[in-house]
Amino acid sequence: MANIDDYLAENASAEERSAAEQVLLGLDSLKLQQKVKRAAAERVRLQNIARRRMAGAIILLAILFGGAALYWRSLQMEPAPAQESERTESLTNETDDPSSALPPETESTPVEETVPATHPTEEERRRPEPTEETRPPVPENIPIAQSDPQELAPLPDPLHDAPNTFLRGQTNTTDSVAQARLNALWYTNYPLAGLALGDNLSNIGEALQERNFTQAFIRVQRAERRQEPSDTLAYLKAYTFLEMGQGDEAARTLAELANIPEDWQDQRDWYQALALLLAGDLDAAQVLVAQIAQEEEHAYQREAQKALEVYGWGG
Amino acid sequence: MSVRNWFSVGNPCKQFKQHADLFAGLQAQDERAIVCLQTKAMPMVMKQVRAFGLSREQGEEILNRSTLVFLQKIEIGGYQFQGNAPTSYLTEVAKRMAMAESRKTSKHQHQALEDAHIDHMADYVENERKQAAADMVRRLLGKLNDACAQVIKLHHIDGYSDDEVIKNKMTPYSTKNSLKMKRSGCMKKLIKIAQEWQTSTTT
Repeated sequence: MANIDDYLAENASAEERSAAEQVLLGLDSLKLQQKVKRAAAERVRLQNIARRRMAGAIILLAILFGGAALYWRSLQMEPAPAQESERTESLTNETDDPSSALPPETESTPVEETVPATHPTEEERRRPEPTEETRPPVPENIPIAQSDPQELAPLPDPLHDAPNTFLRGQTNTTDSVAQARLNALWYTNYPLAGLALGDNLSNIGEALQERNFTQAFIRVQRAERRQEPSDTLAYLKAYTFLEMGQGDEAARTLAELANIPEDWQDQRDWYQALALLLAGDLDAAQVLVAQIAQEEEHAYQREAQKALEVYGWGG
Repeated sequence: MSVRNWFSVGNPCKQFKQHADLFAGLQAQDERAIVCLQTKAMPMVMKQVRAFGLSREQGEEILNRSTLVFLQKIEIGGYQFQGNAPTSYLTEVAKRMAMAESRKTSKHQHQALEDAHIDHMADYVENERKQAAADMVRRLLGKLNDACAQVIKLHHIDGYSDDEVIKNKMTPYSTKNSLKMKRSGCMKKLIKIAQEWQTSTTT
C-alpha cells in the first residue's frame, strides 16, 4: 500500500486527505477483488484438469477391466482351433470328390487334409501324461496282460483316455458315464503287436508313435492312393480310426482284415471290442468281450474281464 | 510423471497441508492459498447454495464474495486463527450470503431468517465501505486518460512491481523513476477528481 503522503503535498487540506484515503481504500479493495477473481479462474482451470484426468483414468480402467474380462472369458472358453473349420471344409470337399481333396505328398505339407470333422482335435484328446514316478513300467509292444502272466496285481489304469466322441456342449449324464467307461478300458498301445513296417509305411508309424492321429490319417490316405491294399496298411488305418474316435470305421476295417498273422490276433480282437464299444454297438461288443474274457491264453483277458465289470456284464 | 504426481499436479493445497499453513497464506493474500481455500470450500458452499434454491452461477458468485469478505476480515484482524479450518469460516460466510441472496429472490419465504442475518450484519459493514470505495475508484479511473489509468492499475490493482512493468514493457516508460513520476502525477489527478466527486455528492 503506497503512502498517502507520496501523493499529497504537505499542506494538503482535510478534504484532499479524505479523498486520497478513499482512493487508496478503493484501490486496495480492487486489488483484492482482482486476486480473488484470478484465484477463482485458476480454481476452475484446475478443476477442469482434475475432471479430465479422472475421466481419463476411468476410461483407462474400463479398458483394462474390459481387456481383462475378455482375456478371462477367452480362457474360460475352449479354443476352437482354426484346423477344425478347415477340416470341416476339407471333409465337404472329400464328400464331393474324395480323390481330389488330397494334394500331392510333400513332407512339409501341414495338417490340413481330409480328416473326419466330428472328431475332437489332438489337443482335446491329449491328456496330461503320467509322470515317470506314477506310470507303471510297460514293456514295449507287449499287451499289458502279457507283460507278466504271473502278476496278479490289479490292472493299471490306461495310459491315455479314450477319444472324446461327444459333441462339445451337448454332453449329458449318459455321455459322461459312457466316456468314463471307455476311459477306464482304453488299453491301446503302439507299435501294434507283431507289426513290422517297411519304409513305405514308416511315416505313418512315426505319426502314430507321436500320437498325432490326424497326421497319421492323412499319411494313410496317401499310402492308399499310392500302394496296393494290404493288411498292414488296413490295420494301421483301423488303429488310426480307433484313436480318432471313429468306432464304426475302425470296427468295419478291423472286421475286413483277413488272414492276419497269429500274433496280431489277440490285439485285433481287443481293438475290435473297443471299436464296437466306441461305436455304441454294445450287444456285439458284449459278445466279443465275453469271448476274450473266457480265453485263458488271450493276451487281453484281464482287460476284457475289467470291461465286463465296468459294463456290468459279469453277472 | 508418476501416477501420484499425475493425480496431484492439479491439487492446489499441496503447500497448505495444515490449517496454520493455509491461514498464513491467506494472511499474506497468496493467490495459491485463495485457490486452495475455494477448492476446499466449494463442495460445501455449492451444497448450501442448492439448499437455498440458487443456481450454480450464483454459487460461484457467492463463493467469490464470501472469499473477499473473509480476506478483508483477516486483513483487519477481525478473524483470529485458533487452529480451526479456515474453510469452516468461509463456508459460514457463504451460507449467510446464500441466505441473503435467496431472500432477495423470495422475501416472503425467508422472513424467519431475517433476525439471524441481522446478527451478522456487522461483518459486512466494512466490506460494504470498501466495496463503495472500490466502485468509486473504478468509475474515476474511467475519467482519467488511458496512460494514467494503466500505470495506476498495473501497480495498485494488478500488483505488478515497477521492475516487472519495465521489463515486460507494459508502459512506454523505460526507467523506474520516470514510471514513478508518471504514477505520482496520475494519482494526484485521481485524488483531485475524487475530492471533486465527494464535494459534489455531499453538497
